[in-house]
Amino acid sequence: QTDFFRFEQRPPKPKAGPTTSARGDKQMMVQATEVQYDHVNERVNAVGNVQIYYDGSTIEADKVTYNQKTKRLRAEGNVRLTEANGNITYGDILELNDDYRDGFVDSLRLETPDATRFAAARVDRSEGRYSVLQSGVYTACEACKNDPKKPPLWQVKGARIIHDEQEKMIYFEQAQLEFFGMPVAYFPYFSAPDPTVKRKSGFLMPSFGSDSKYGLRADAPYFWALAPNYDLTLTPTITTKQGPLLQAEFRHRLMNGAYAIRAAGIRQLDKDEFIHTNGDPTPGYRDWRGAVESNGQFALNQKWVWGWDALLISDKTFYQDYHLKSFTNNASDPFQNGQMEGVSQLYLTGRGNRSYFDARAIHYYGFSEFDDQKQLPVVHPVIDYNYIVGQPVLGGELGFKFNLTSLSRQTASFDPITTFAENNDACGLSTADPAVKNTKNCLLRGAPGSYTRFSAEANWRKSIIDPFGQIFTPFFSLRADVASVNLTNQPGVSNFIETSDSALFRGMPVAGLEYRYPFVNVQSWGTNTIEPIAQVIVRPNETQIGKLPNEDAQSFVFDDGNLFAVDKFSGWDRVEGGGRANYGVQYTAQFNQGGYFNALFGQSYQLFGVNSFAVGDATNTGLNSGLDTRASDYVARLAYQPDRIFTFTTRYRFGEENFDVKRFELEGKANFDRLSLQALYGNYAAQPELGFLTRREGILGGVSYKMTQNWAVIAAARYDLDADQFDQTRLGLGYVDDCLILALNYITSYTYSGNPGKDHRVMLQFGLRTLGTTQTSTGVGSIGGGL
Amino acid sequence: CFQPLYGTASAVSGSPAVSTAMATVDVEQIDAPNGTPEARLGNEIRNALIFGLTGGGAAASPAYRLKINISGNNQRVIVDTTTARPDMEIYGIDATYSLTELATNKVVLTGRAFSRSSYDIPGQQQRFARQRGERDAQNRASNILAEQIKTRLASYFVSGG
Amino acid sequence: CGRKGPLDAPPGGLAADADGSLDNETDQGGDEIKYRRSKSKSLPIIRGPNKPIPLDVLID
Repeated sequence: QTDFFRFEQRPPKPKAGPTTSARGDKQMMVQATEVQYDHVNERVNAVGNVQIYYDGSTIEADKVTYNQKTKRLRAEGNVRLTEANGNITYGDILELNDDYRDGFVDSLRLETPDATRFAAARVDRSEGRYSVLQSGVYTACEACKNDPKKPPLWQVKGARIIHDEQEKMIYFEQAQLEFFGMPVAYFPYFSAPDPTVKRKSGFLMPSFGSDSKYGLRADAPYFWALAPNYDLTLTPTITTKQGPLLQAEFRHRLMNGAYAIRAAGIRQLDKDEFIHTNGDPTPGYRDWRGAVESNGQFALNQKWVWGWDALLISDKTFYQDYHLKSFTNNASDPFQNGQMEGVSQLYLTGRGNRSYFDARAIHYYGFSEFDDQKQLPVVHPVIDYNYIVGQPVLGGELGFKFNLTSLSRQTASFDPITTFAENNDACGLSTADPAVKNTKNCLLRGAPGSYTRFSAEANWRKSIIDPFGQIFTPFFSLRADVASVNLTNQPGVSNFIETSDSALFRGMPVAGLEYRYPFVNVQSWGTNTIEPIAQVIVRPNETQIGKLPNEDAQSFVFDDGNLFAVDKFSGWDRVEGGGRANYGVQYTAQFNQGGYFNALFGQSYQLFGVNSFAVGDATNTGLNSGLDTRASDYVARLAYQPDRIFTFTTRYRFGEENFDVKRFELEGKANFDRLSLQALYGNYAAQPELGFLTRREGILGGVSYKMTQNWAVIAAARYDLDADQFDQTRLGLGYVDDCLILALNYITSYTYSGNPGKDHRVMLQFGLRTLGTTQTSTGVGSIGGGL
Repeated sequence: CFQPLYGTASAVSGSPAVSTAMATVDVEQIDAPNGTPEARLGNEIRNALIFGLTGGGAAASPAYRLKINISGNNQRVIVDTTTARPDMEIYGIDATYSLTELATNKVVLTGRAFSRSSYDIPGQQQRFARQRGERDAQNRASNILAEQIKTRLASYFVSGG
Repeated sequence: CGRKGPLDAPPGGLAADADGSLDNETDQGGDEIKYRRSKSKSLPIIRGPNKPIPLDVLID
């Protein structure tokens, strides 16, 4: 789950006792072991686990005396009043008049359904609405089981506490906040919505922190619940070095959707804080900085939604510098970094029973200092449409896939693929000399101009199982692409791709057969399954390689996931051609109580024709991938999840000559009840022709340990072994129980982009359940898990 | 000893051939709000499972209902310490599922499954290529997850579940 | 102090299908809103009206 520290869930509260209503005219019904009639004092004493049912509520006590003269009911000895609305009141002495709404209770202990507790020497309940507690105490902490007299973790003592049930507010007069019984803060007058209220205008819990770029920081959000379906939150923030920052968020829910508009702005007092140690200014070196962001999503019906995300921002590192979570933050990143780009998009998405439609126009805004906005494409639009025919066609499954991609880019983007080119900036934008800027030294990462491609594919497949248990799956597919390419001939672009306008067509018929023969061995503890798998695919060669720019298929990883994919490319700009065989074996041990171990090992072989992965396009996709040799590298996977505690998985790619490790990823997670560990390790051999000039190796680790029932420490770090440097580290210490969160987080970021030097950040998270928690609760995501 | 999992010539334990039992499993649409990545993943996983269970043929009258809950996440092992941009990411799906026998409306099987697929971002800067790489990794992870669940169901039916 | 909880539907508005965070919260009406991780933590995702629209021809 995403929140670092969250209140512990208490076991669900038992339903209030059965309210047996008295007969007819709300007559009070009394049950007791003995009822004494004291005529002299006109009293009725019921003694011995007395139960009184009246008007939908019940009173239980050791002794109840009913004074007919004063019409007062007094219950004594572990009194328990269970009202119709579920409120349970305990007390030693319960004085109630006949319709007992306006009774007096001594040392009343009122417990509301939301498990908050009032205690008071005396409580006056009047007009069925107000409970006025004299020198009362309010807390949301569970009373200590074995020593109820020990003061709860935190409590608010007040000369007078007034609980207005109609207005759902609690008012404290001369209130004193106590922690562990010691007074910590004093408020002459203080009010808070009672726990049953979900939205109420007023100050939210302030949050505190510090950062080397803006010094100390205090956020004091104020929330206006303008209407049940829209509200405004204004958060003035004071920073010691940079002065005030203002944040605002307007949320509005309409009939079939909701949208929000968020804005933040600051006039920086000391912009010199945003200069790198080497003197270069970071994007933050400016006076005025700010952003306006909006997102919204509306439902057309139960299958179709449309929406937008929009971002207008003053500079690339504004969100990073002031730790403003943009809408699309990556919740599973332990360091709570938002995405490294601001995505503005307009989309229409439809989800059917087996079909899916998504059309999207996208603009990217890079958040790294090294992003050149003119080299990022604007996508107008990308449409993906998959449809599977519900009924079998010719006994098999017929499916259609369509993709339209239309985008344009202002400036070309080149990347060096040799250390010579990198050191001498041979691939710079201005140089055009083909002797230097050529396909030996560089690759064209982004083609300037505009490019539109429409692709359509029909595929049919059917599995036939013969009596011996062999599974034969013939499959056929027919695909056509039509593209219009008009690139601008910027310096050097023509060394990599034809820049004359061209309309291109490409077709690809495919026929193939997949063969599987799973064997099973049933044991007492579970089953073993061994499954040899083989595929033969027959196709003509791929055409137009290098003529079509490659925009959506640049990312290519050969692994266990696409070993048996009919077309291994990750996008539509490339299509796999030629004859190919994929073969491997999969083993699964399935334990009866649900855990499992799974392993896969396999290889791919280029049977005939042109090996699409050995012929690089403008981005060299396919080269150095392991599939660019006739016999491919070997790929393998191990996955082990015995129970709820352990998760372990590794993926490999071994070189086909000498089995050297080309790609290795490992993930291990262990969630014991007090200790949770997670490690993620990646080791990737250099792929110079793709622009990965050096070996990449990194580790992401996290541990969270609950030292006691409530105290926990958390540590997480991401370390780049190749650069021999930390990317980010995080230390957290926190106290959590069902009613209090107190956590301190210390995050250090070592990355150069946007940071003048090493960036140290401290965040204090503070929360009293029902009175408020700080907004900026950090999320540890899956690293070390939350508590 | 090992026998063919789907062999009908020597029925393993008298129960109907595993493949006919598998075809009676009705995969419920995976619950995820529209417009979220999990909604698209839900369709990919369900379609892969339906083909795995029925081989593309007509669905038999359902005797079981399979309900799956999924959650996707995205993690970065390597972040460039200069540009602060990731050059690879791992997309993961974690799922829990339960099989209910319609006749008795009793949950006969519950389990967990997970899958991971990594994708590179060559050059780090091209965000459209990254988004399409992530989409492909999601599809790969969905197919692996569907395969894990299918194997679990087969082992349940073959051991006379 | 105030409290910032999930938005309620306008009068006659449709039920929320899910919101952004991963916690289960009970809304005013008492029915449990299922939450799924989505773009923003603060906005509910509304389950649309159950009425056909022309676009439905594209998806089954």
